[in-house]
Parts: sequence; structure tokens; C-alpha cells
Amino acid sequence: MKQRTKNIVSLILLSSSLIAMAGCNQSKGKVDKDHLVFDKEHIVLDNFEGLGVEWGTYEDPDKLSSDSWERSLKIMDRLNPQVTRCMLNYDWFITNFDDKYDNDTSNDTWEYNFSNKLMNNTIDVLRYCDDHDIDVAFGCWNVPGSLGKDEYNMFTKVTSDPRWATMTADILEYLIKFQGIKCIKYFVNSNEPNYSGVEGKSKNYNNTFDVWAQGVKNVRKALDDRGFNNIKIIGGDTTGFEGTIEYFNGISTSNELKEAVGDYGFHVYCPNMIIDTGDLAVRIRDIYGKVKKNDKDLGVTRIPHIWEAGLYDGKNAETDSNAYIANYSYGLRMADYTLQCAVAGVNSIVYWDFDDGMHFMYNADGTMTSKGWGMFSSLSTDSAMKQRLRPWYHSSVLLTNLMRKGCKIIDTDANNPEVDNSFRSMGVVGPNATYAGVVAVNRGMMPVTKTFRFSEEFLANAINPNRIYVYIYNEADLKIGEDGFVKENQILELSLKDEIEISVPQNSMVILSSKEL
Amino acid sequence: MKRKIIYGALLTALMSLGALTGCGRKSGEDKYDKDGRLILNLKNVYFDQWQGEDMYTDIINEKFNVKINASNYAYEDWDTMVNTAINGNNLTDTIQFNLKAYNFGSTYESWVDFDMLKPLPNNMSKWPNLKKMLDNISNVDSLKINGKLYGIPIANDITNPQKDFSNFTYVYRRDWAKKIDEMYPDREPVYREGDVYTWEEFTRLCDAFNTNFKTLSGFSSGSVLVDEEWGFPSVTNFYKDAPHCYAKDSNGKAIANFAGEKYLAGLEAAKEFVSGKKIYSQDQFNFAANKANQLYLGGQAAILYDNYSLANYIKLRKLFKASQKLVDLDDGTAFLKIKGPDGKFALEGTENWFSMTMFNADISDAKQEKILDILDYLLTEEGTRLAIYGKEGYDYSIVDNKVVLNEMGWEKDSMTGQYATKTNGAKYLRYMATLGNDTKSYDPFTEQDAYNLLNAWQEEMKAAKAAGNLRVVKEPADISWMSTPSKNDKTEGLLNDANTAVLKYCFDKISFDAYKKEFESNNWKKVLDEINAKLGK
Repeated sequence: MKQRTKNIVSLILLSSSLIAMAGCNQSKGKVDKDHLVFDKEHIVLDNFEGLGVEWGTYEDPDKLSSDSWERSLKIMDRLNPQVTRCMLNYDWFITNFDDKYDNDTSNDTWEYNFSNKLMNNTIDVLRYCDDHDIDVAFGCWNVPGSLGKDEYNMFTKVTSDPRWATMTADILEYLIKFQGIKCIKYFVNSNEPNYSGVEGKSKNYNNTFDVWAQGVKNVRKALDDRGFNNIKIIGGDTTGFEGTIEYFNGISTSNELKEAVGDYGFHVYCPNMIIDTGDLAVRIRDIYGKVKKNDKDLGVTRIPHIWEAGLYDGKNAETDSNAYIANYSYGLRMADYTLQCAVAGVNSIVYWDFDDGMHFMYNADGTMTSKGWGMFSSLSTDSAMKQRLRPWYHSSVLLTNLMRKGCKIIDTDANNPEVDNSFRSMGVVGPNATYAGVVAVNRGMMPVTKTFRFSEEFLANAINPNRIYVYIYNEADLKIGEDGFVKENQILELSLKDEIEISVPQNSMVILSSKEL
Repeated sequence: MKRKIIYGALLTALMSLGALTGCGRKSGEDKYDKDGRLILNLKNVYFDQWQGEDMYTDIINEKFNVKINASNYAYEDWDTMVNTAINGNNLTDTIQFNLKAYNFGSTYESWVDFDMLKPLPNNMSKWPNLKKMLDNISNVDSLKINGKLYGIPIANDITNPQKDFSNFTYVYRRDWAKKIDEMYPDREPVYREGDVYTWEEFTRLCDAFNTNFKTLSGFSSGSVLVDEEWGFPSVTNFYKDAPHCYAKDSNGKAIANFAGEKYLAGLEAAKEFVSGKKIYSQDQFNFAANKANQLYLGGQAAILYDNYSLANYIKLRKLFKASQKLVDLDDGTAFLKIKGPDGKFALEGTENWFSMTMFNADISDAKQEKILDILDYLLTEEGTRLAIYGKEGYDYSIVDNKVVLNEMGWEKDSMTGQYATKTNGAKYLRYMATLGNDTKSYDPFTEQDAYNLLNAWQEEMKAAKAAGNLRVVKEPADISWMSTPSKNDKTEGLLNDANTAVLKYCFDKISFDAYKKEFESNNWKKVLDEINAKLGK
């Protein structure tokens, strides 16, 4: 191994120190968990699709003042996502529904009223995505109709009802052909179809894999008939590991379904312990390993995605909020979650969610309360504390701006939890090696010192040679600029071509990046 | 596979939903997942926020080589959902049913008759913790049919099985009582230190609240006393000696409780509280569920009668704190301890268990034993720690023989400083055997202020009972769990009709004669005759 330039720089970074120094080689055959090398052999993703956040239609746009909207857009600008999931309800637009007073649904007629605030807000979101090159998974939460009423008589067949496919195609046609929206790349054939819920309490109660699969086939045909062959249908959008395995197995063993879907995507609300112990990557690999046995095109034409990413512990089902959402630990765990999913081969991750102001719990007494899963709240009626940007927004900003479309994700053997279950890292190399970065997460209770090095083939001809931006995420060290957004803790006059030794504080994420994030 | 015929004539009145013609059973063969683990399908009303996927369930799955699938009943449709599953022969491996004395014959007993339920093994010594728990279940012999127990009565508190009174009682605005004394310093105080009131002191307090209501509440009208709709009229507790349909006269003969001398005295007191003194809310007649709570939380009532389980009391305090920000929380939700005209506290009696975990008759012995293994384990010290604290090494450590919570596994909400929800399947599974009141004192999720206040009230009542100063209002056990055709069929309807008559009489909508006639009907006569025949009276 070639001897690297020797640079020794002593730094005091609040609670941490970083030193660039001469390299130590990773020994062959035995995992060296202290000297980490990002090399070609460990590329797990060659063409990452970017990170993003759920940004659905605001259920009550009246609650969103123009000032709040402008602020939300600035927050979105800085987050700079490359993928999002935008969900709505068809009920908002369907009008003059006529079932002809018979049981035959094939002769039902209906119209659409797209001239309302909900559609205006949807279009605002989608136009922003168009303007910022954000890929959108667009979909509808569930079939139309209200619980206890089922005015469209769709709760029996749910998405396999042919009218669902027609409505889907109609609404997409309006958005794409009439409004000129271009960013819709995926369609969500109902949210979490495997979660059937409780009879009488869930529109999804009658859903099964076969019912959902028929719905996918119907929608595929309807979209193709309208010329929307380029819109892929999400293969699952399921929740939970067990239910997802069932759906992925069903898809991957059916040629017809494989043709109909465009990814293997699901939702992961992860218990803390799974993340903290490094087990998430193991589980993700296990799930996609099963798919790979049946579908050789996994990762080629059908890509692994996570369309809702969040933490399970702290969830209050009564308010549909997460009590930890404003804790620094939420950001650290979500960063760890992101790292583990990426090194396990997930091509993009969409965080749940952007803004508390998007979704509400509708209480029995007629009041509404916002669901607290966001990176902030745009609601002026919420407390000042809730309106502030939460720590996990800042950690997410760092990751979304580093892990861009087309980048390579590089794993290390030391990420194996059997080697070390409290420290993880990955290398990120931008398209054409225009930039590179290291994400390191220390979940332990003590600082750890590690060296990082990229093998030369990545960085030989590119990247800023003499500048490393250092970002530290923990409660003590996170640095917020005057504009209210995260900024670097330090700029080192060094290159990622060098071997870098860093001390990663306990319970922290450190990012080294050749570009400003 | 056995085919069982369920005859509609017998069960139609008992099971409200579903066709009751013959239904074939689903296969009772055990199923295993691809990893060779025995699949257990468990259903429980408390599983509403747990789907069976978490690290703690994984620990149970691994330890017992099972794959647990969890599903839940919606609380408000609980009975219906169980009945529907029974009628449709679509039972999960375990079910949970809200077994009560009034539905004993119409459900449990019939289901046993029709071979729907699998009894517990005769010899439970293999599961010593469960056995010990079952040995302490009140009236457990009444639940046995031909010597067999067809399920696990879910213990309220395995460390305190002797508690036989309910937590149906009053909280009141102690701050208002004190304020009245401040307003009238020259008068005899209405507030009583320790919140213990004789009947006279209580009625005087109510009168003072009534007179000063506007000043105290800021509302031009309101109510001194509100009962949750199921509990009206709570003041009869201080007179009656049975809570529901049946009581005994001095000769031990079964009578209609609502027409008994003691109940009628209580009824007159209630009527006086309604239309005489106007202590009760004048809207009480139309109360829907939770209305009393709404009025109390809105500062429009001074005394609230409800069921103060720990969960309910915590909820009340949480909502009160949010709605009455300027009121001291303890003063605003203080327990009001009233001694009746006989000088004793009076509380409705209760079994020391609530609802029952039952087993589908079609499951194998091996599967039932596996479920019992799990439940028995969860009652051990180790299993209880798993259910309450989580995984040793991650969630907690043992230091000097004491549990120390680890920061990684136990994190507080930065806004409230409280531990936030932690989904622990072991804790949910433990609810299949016990409601977990034994662990509340050290469960990190317990809101300790509320727990301590409720516990202090319970201890005071226990002490009063030991001293003979608490009257526990109970239905005679030999009648309560007695099964006769008419009693099984008609008790629920009789109870509903009786409650309606009580309400109407208190609000002057029917005369006393009309009220009395309600209990002279052929249905009452037939049921009482059957009961008395069985009693030998």
C-alpha cells in the first residue's frame, strides 16, 4: 500500500478532536475495526437515488398561512431532498357520484372537481418537486368513502375495484396532461395495504395480498392505456418486516406482478434496539436476500426503497405522534438508520415526515390535533417549541445533501455488528468522484478514534483536494448558523485523498465531506 | 376435524350477531412457520397498540420457539367481536372475553356446552406461577364446569388478591371547598382535612357548592355532582346492599334489588339529590358516555363519580391539568371519601379479576401448554423484568441486585421529561394473565404522583374495611354466578330496564307506583322463582 501524505493537525472541536495522520493499512483476512478503508470491493450501491421526506398534500390548507408556506419552502430548500412521497385522498375531488341505485358498480358515474384548495396545494407541492428535480411517489391513502358509510361501496374489493384504477388514471391524467406535472415517477397503490386494522375501523380490513395484486394489475393497465408507461407502481408500500416479506414474496414469485411493479418498497418504523445494535442492516439484507432468490432484477429494474422511515419507540398511538421527535437522539438514530439501510442496499429512503402541519388526528369531540412526526411545525397555532426546527431536521440536511443521486455507497467489513455493534461508517462518493464524504456514527458511551481512507481509484482524478468540511451531530456540538440552518464545525485544509484519523464523540454522528453540505 | 352444530334456538338471544346454524370448525392442526416455530394466534383487547413485532416479542419467540401473531378487539365492540368469532367458528388460538356474572350462562357456559373452549389442564403444577395466581382468583370454583376451568381469569393484582372493592368513587374540587371556607371565615368550615366527610358533612358541602357555584366556577349554571352515565345514581351505594339485579331479603330469599327496602331508601335519597336539592346535574338524565368527565374537566361540576382505575385517574389528571391550568392538580382531582348515613364508607364490590383469556377448543394440547409456558414465564421475576424493563444489558442492568435503567433503552421525551411509549410485546402478553397492577409501583411508565394518590386512597379503604368501616356492596356470590335458563336469558335486559326506571323515577318521569311495577313483571317473577328454587327458598 502506498504511503500517504503525512498531515498532522490538532483541533479542538468542542468535545471532539480530529487529527489527520499517516495511514495504517487494513489488514487482510481479519477485520480491522479501527482503520477503515472504503474500496471498490465494498461498493454496495453504484447509483444511489437520494434521500427525501414525505411531503403530502396538506389536509387543511386553511391552516397554512402564506408566511408559513414560504418558511416551509425555505426549510425544504435547505433540506434539498431528491425524492418524496406525496399522498392524498380521492374523496377530495370526486363529485356527483351516481351509483344508479343498483348493485352494479360498472355503470357508476362520477365527476371531478379539481378547483379546490386541496388540489391547489397538491399542485404547489408537485410544481416545487418539478422545479427541484425531486422524484415523487404519488398515491392515495386508501379507497374513497368514509368509515361507517362506504358511499362508493368500495370497502369490499378495496383497490381491486376497477373504479379505483379508473380514478387513479383520471387524476394522474389531470396532473400530468392538464397541469404539466413531470415529477411523478411512482404510484402508491394504497398506503400500507398489509395493515388490515380492525373491522369497522379500517377501510383496509378486507384487503389481502391477492386483492392488492389485482389492484396493481388494474392500475398498471389503466396507466399504460393512458400512455403513462413510465410511472412505476410501488411493489408493496407495506409496513413491518413480516407483512413486507409476504408481499415481496408474492411479487417476486409472479412474473405478471414483477412486470407490473417498479420497485420493492416498504415502510420501516424501527424499534430503537434494532437500530442501536446494528441489526437493522442485517434485517434489511435478509429481506432483500429473500427477494433476490426469486427476482434477479432486484436492484436493476426493481429497486429497493423505503418510502416511510421513522422510529417506532416513542409512538403515541392516541395522538399519532412520536414523543422523541424533538430529542437529539431521534436524529442520531435516524442517521444510523439511514446508514444501515444504505449499506444494506436500499437505494433511497423517504423520512416520515416533513411538517407536523400536514396531517391531523380527528378527535371524537370534533377537534383536530396535528400529528407530531415532522421536522418542524408550520402551524402558527402550535407552540414556539414545536415550530422550531427539530434536531433531526439538521442531521437529515447533512445526509440529504451528501447522499445525492448517482453517488456510490461504500460499506466496510467493520460494520458487521458481530465485529462492532456500536460504531458504523460508510463512504459516499459523488458522481464522477466530484465529491466524497464519510458518515460515521458512534452509538457507544465513549469516544472512539478511527482512521478512514478511500482507495485511490475513487478519488484519483477529482474532488476538492484541500478542503474537508467537518460536521458533528450531537447535542453539545451541533452548529447552527445565523440563518438557522446547520453549518460545519470546522474546515480542514486537508484532502479526503489522505487518511484521516478522527475521534468520534460518544452518541454522535460525524460527517467529513469534501463539499459544503 | 369435528363438526359442531350450534342450535340457534338456544343461542340466538345470547349471541347477537351472525347466523347460528351449523358451522364447521376450522382445522385444529398446529401450524409452523418456515423456521419451524409454532405459530400462535393470540387476540386480546389490550393489544390495540401492538401487532406482535418488536424486539421483546422476538425474545419470547426465540425462547419458546414460537411465532406470535397478535390481533386485538376494539374495546367498544369487544363483546360483539368475540360473539361474531364464536358464531363464525373463526376463533384465534386464544380469545379474551369480558365475562361477567350476568353473561356467564349465556356465553361461557354455552360455549363450554358446545365444546367451543378448551379447558385448562387439570394439573397446573407445571405452571406454578399461574397456578398460584389461579388459586387466589375470587369465586374461581363458580367458573368451573364439571370441575374444569375454561380459561384464565385475568388477575387485577397478583400481589393483592384480597382487594374486593372497586375503584368506583368520587373526586372533587378540594380547592373549591377550601375557597368556600375562605369566603366565609366566620362559618363552620365545609372542608374536612383528609377529605373524609360524614354524610351530614357531605350534604352540607354539596349545599355550599350549590349556593356558591357561580362564584367558584365562573359559570352561571353548573352541577355539583355528576355521575358517569353507567353509575347513576351513585348515592344509592350508601344505602343498598347489592349493586345489580339481585339481593337477598332477611330470610335469604332472592329479591329484585331495585325494589328492596334498602335500595328504595337510596332511591329516595337520589331523588332528593336530583329534584329536591338539585345537587345532581339536571342534565344527568341525558348523559352520554364521558359527559360527566367533560363537565368536570370544563370546570362545570364539583364532584365526579367514575371508575378510577389507574389509567383512568392518570387520564383525568392529565386532562384536568390541560384544561384547568391555574388549579393545583392534586386539589382539583382529590379523592372524596364519604361515609354514608350508617357511618361507613361504601364501595361496590368486585371480583379480583377482570375478563378471561380463553382457549380455542381446536388447539392442540401442545399449543395450549406452550401458551401457558409463556404466561407462566411472564409471571416469574425474570419474565416480569422483561415485560417491565426490557432486555437486560440493553434496557437495564442489575447493579448490587437492583435494576438500573440504561440510558440507551430508556429515554425521556424532551418536552415532558416523561418516558415515552415503549412497545414491549412481553408486557402485552402478560396482560393475558394479569392486568399488571402488581408492577405499577415500579413500572417506569407509571405516573407516580397519580399512582401514589390512588394507592393511598386504596390503602385507606383497605384499612377502613379491616376496621369494619367500609361496606362492600356485593351481589350474593351464590346468585351472581348461578345459571338458570331465565336468568341467563333475561338478566341483562332486566338490568337495563331497571336502570331506565331508576333514571325516570329520579327525574320525575314516572310515578313510584309505575317504578314498583317494573319489578313485578312476569320476567322478574320467573327469574326470581328459578333462582329461589335453586337456592331452596
